[in-house]
Amino acid sequence: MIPDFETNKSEWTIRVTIGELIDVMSALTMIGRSGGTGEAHVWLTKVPNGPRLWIIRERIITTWITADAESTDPTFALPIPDRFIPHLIEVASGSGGADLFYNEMEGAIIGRGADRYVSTDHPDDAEFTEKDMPYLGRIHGFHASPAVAEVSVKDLTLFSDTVHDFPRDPSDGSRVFPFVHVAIGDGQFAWTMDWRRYNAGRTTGSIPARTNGHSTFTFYPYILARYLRSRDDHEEARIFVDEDNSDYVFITGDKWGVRCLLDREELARWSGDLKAQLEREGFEVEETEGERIPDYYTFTFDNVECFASVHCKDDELTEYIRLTHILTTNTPANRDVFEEINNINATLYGARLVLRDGEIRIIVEFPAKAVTDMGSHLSVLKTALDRCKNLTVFLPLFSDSH
Amino acid sequence: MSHSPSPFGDDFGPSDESLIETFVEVEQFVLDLEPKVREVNRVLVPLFGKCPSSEDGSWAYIAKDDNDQYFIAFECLPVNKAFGLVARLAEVLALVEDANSHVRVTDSYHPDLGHVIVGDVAQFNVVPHTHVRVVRK
Repeated sequence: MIPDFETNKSEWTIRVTIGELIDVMSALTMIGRSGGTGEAHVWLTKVPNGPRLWIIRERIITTWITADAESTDPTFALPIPDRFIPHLIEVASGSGGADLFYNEMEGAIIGRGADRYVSTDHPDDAEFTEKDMPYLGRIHGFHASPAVAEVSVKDLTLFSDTVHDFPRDPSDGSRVFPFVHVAIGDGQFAWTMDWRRYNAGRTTGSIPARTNGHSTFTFYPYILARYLRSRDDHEEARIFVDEDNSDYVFITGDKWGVRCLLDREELARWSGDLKAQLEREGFEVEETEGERIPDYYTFTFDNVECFASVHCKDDELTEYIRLTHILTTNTPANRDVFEEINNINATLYGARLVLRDGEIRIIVEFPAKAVTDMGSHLSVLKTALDRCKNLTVFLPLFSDSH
Repeated sequence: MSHSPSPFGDDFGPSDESLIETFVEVEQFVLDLEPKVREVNRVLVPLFGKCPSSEDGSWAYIAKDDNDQYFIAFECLPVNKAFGLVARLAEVLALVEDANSHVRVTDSYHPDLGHVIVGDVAQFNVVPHTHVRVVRK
């Protein structure tokens, strides 16, 4: 049967240029989606009273490309399968662009360039959500202490190259490669890759930048570094991050941008195991809604609320897990309290009491690699909890609570 | 014999109403208006340079209207000096715009810097609705 692509057309048509299609394909390639497998798709929409917007979201990266929009561009978000993009480029070549429209009888997205057509099934269950938005109002938080670095894309090549400079054999069994540590400020954009866990050293780089504010942050850099290699050397890029516990770093050029999730390396390395071990012990661990790995997990143990968290020592290599129960709050730091804490600590094994921020906390710490032995660590915590039950009788002398 | 509580007698001091009003006016002038006009000049003189129309270079002075109400007035400029002021204002404007082109906020100010960060992409107020697959047979 000969298909008739021109009947039952949607009321809308989007004229896309071969240039923007190549940009989209380049972005897909650089973030590792050039294979076109699975149900992955690119979103095509339009900024209100603004340009056309192509959005690609891949794990921790959301990247976008803008292009001139026509007044007839629809404002909805159209999912276009990754696999379709190379075919659109093909039909657009020679005709300067392609017309995109929808066939309402076939449920197909159609690309037309001159007299050539290509179509693909419209994705079934694709839904454009807030998480697909590069930026929406203030959902990503207020900007209390912003830090901005304006750098040349050409200089960023040094960043990309050093990030991708793996040691000869990085496969030491670790599941997560190093995060990059970035610092913005004093006219510099600087970074360090720490390969000491892989029997290699640290690599630090710095490029000149017009900076405003100061910030340090860490993130998983490999996808971003590869993507930046596809950007035009002659451009300037603006790097933005909020100083205080920001969720994302933004890097933007003239007609492109990237949003990259910020996280801590030790969380990426151990939080999954920690959560799995807690669940294996029968605990219900609270789920979090954000994209970032949570700083701690909350669970109920022995009828009290406890927390499990991952930390890294100042050497940036020694990782450990801490189980915590907050015994009291609003506790004064006086001699009687410290004496009581010391007395109890002398009787504890594998656990200790600390007074921090007015809270007396029971903490159990152990090397992150020992997370698989969660049962014995919980046993230590249980012993400490039992031992401290008397403390809650004693502490009302000093505490405003309990 | 006088029963006045004042050792100097009742007729000492500003018993004349008009004199009292004068004292009140002087008090207002010294304590209220004069500091204000001084503050205006403290800001304007470094900003615009000395005023060419006044002897001491001040731009503002205190004047009275027809109803004897005080107000702060500004010097008139001769025509040939006006463009000097305009040029100076243009320089100030350029400095202000340059300052605003960078991200400068204080700790107590929590702006949404969306446009500065991502440009046009920050213009979304709502999430665009999804084009869903509908097949009409």
